[in-house]
Amino acid sequence: MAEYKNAIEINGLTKKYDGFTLDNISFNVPKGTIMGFIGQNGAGKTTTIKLLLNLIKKDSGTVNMLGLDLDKNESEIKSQISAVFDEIPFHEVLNANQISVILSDVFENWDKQTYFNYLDRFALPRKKNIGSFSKGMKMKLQIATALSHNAKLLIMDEATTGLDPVVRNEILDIFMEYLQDENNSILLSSHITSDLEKIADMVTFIDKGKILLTGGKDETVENHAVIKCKKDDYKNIDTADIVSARITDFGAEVMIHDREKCEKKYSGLTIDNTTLEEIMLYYVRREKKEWK
Amino acid sequence: MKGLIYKNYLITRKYYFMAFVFSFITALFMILIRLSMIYGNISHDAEAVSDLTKSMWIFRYMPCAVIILGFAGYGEAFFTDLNAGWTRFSRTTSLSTHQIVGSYFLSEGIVLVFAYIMCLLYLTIFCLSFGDKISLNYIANITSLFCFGAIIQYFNLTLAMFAKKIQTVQLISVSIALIFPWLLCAYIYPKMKELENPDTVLLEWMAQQFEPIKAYIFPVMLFLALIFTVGGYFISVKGLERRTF
Repeated sequence: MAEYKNAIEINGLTKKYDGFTLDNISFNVPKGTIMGFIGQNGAGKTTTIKLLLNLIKKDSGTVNMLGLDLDKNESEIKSQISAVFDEIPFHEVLNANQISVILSDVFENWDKQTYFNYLDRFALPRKKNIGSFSKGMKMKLQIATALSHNAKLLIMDEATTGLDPVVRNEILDIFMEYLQDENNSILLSSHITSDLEKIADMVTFIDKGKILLTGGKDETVENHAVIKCKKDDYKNIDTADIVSARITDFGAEVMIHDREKCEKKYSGLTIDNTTLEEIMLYYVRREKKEWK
Repeated sequence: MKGLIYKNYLITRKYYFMAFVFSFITALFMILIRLSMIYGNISHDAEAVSDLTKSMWIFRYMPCAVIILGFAGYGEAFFTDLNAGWTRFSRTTSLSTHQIVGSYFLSEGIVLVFAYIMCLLYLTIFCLSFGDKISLNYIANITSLFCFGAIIQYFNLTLAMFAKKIQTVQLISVSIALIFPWLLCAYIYPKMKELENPDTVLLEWMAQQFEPIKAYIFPVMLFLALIFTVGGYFISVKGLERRTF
């Protein structure tokens, strides 16, 4: 496989449905990073991931993964990636041993020893039907299979949704270990921003089928801030600096997207740090500008 | 592909076990009736024995038909995979649609061959137990049944690639299957009126109707089975490629 800078390169990807359009989205996932793909329910995260995996056909745009064009090298790309969904794709009558036998035929680089090591680490039984597993156990099993065939790229769609904090933490630690190899990359779609705060290097926000912003997680969080002020002061804030503002009876909480500039411009006002979750909340309401 | 066939076996073995039990019961039932004709209650009724003896083909072939049709699938493995999310998962791997479809065709083919062997075994036991010689004609008829099973099975599997639910395939398949008996009844009913004892002679009469065409049944069935298998395979590949998730 040729050298590449970005594990995923998406350019002008478009998909139209009745009532929803994934509209000309573009972003990159640099090699060796975890990209948090954030958006509320129905924003287009799963549609984007399905397009990356060619589960649905795109209307236009290009996708390159691991330095290869998806249209021309789909099979080669897919031999190097792993997809993890929110539901385990294995039948409930199967057990972990049988899954290993099946997947050794599916993946050329299937590593049985690595798989069983993960099973031991996650304390997953080998001969018990997975129908009797809890949700957390099923997700751990799915991740064990995803990490057991030397995949260079993990694409995960809401993989931590519905899991308790302990299991989520365990899984996030596994992802950090996976990234120890600089050739590995992860695209993790989620609306649980706290998970992405912990591990993501990059974030991409999507809303109503459009990319709102994409970039380094730390830079994104540092560039944004919330000005807490009175309504009179709010009127003096330039609308070009505002993402959106939450108006209360006592004042306004205004999300700004260029903290450095606004600190100089509005030096008399209180400017607080923000979080990915707040950024998402304010961006989702950007069209309204003011909300309660 | 061994892994995929192994998976198909694991997820459908309960269904096929039930088919095996039902087939076994039907075969046993036929053998018991035959025994009764010789040693049991039926043997005391000479007329019944005479009528049943003229319709020995029922004893030979009906259990085989039950076996073949019981094991001929509706795409169970495919729909089980679809509902479990495996089909979507397999499309994210480097497995080609040819491999995926091929695994279903092979798995169901292996099951049908197993059913065919069961039929031959039943026929052997039945014939040897009651002093009947196994002729090539019997084997050709069983093989025709096997080909018929293949036609149904691969028609259903091809249909499954375009359907959303297994119930759709079952409904279409059963609807088509019901057309033939209806046509047969429409053909037979006027003829039945001409028979003196329609109840007892009907089966013998039906067997006689097949006499002129029975030499063609096997080659025609074999040809159609090949068409449905090969044609169904390529249409199924296209169907799976067109599926979105």
